[in-house]
Amino acid sequence: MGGEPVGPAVLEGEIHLAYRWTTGPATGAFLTALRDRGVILGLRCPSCRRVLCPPLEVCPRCGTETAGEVECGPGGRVTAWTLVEAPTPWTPWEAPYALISVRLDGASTDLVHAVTEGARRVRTGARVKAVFRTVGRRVGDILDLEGFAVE
Amino acid sequence: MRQVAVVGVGQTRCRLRREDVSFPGLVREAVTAALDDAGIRLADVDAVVFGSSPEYFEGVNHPEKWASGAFGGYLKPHMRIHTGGTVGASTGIAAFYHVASGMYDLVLAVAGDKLSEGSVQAGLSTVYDPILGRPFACGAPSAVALQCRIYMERSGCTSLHGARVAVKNRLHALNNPYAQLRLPDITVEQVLSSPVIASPLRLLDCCPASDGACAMVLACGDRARRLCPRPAWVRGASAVAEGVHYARREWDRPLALHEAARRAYAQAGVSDPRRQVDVAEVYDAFSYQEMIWYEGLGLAEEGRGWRLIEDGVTTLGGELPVNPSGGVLSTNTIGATAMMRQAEAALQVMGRAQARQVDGARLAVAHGWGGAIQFHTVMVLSSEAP
Repeated sequence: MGGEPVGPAVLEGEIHLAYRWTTGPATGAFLTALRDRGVILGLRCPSCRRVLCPPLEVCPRCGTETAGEVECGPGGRVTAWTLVEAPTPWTPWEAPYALISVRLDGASTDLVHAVTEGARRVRTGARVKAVFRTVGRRVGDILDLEGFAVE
Repeated sequence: MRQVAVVGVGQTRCRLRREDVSFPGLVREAVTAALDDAGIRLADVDAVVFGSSPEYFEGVNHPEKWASGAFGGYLKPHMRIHTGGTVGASTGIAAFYHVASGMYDLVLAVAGDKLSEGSVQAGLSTVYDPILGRPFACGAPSAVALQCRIYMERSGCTSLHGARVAVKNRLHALNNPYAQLRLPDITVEQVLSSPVIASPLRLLDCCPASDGACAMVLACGDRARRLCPRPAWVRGASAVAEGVHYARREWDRPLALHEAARRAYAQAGVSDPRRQVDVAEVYDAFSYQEMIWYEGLGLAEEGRGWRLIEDGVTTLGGELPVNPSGGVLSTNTIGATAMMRQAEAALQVMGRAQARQVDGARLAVAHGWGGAIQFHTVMVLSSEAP
């Protein structure tokens, strides 16, 4: 046949769904400490003694339930970084911004977050420091930790 | 094929909303219960099979990534199963394949959903064909209502039969500490006067939505005998699909169910299911469906499923109790639901179903359905090794 299509070849649509995610005891405590105290919490695995930050209910390596809150940071060291030039529509930062993997002081695992101050100076091994949302504006999500400033 | 048995089962408490646990925490709860029940540690497990239903329920794509640390998938052979409503049963059957094949000796199967995180019926509606089906998508009840209408008009089944199934299973649920709905005073009149959701389905003809998970430990013959004084031997298992759009789809006589039952019974050496099966756990998401499944599973003659209800055959204490657990009408997590049928059937042939135990149960059948009523699973469990 060829030529013009005889009918609609593509139909456009969207899906809108609302959710209420249960944070659970570990992530819940992490977000609460962030919101109410401006503190980054880790949880210790009683088997391997590692401090998981962000905390998990179960240590994946040992299969053991974590116990014992440990305050991590606010300082840490960059373990990996990228300068993002092509963000998604829902990215809260303007490009270019630095996405980092950071090992907070006192933690045994890495947290993924963004650099909000000094993105151009970020390097592996660089010292960074947590920047929190202003008291009174915190809502209990991961962005109560606004990001990290390169020292 | 190697001998395979269920040697431990674990179910979580199921509620409309469990705010005390995250999704990984919920899955973990079932895993811990199943490992304890089998008397083993996670380190003993050779491989893990994880199942959950459409991602839209929790709104987390790829939930096995989110939950693998909690369900014990770390550095173990691991896979995720997803077959809609049958997923729990497909997960159990996949674990069965893992052991039957000789690849692994001790396999953990776990499935669950936390339906309260999103909107179940809106999530289910995304399952419909995006081009030809979406405007008509109204969750599960409207589609199943068509199935029930077809069945009623063909068989002579009435709303009274549906209501009696709804009452039977809710009363059974009172014997099951894991069942969610507690309706001790439910009556047929109450069911028949409850609000219409999509005719002929009324509110009390429908299952609730639950947050919950289920896990099972499956073992090869030698390990099963060492771990468990009376394992539940998997004698037959089959998961069969049919398509959505083609002629002669008969919702009241699902071809996929007939084929799954034929295959599972052939493996198990069951020639007369109505006489040989002692107890069945079927996927009664909506009351009328239970009678359609009786027929598909060969427990009743075609068009006569409702007779078993009329004669009280499938009530606990009757000749062939169906859903002594309270069934899906009392608890429906979707993700774990079809595995709960297998787990409950296993408990029956292990003789460990406590207040819901069917006396002398030796052969049990577990059924699941999913998708657009096109996926069906059948597992036959026995107190006797093959």
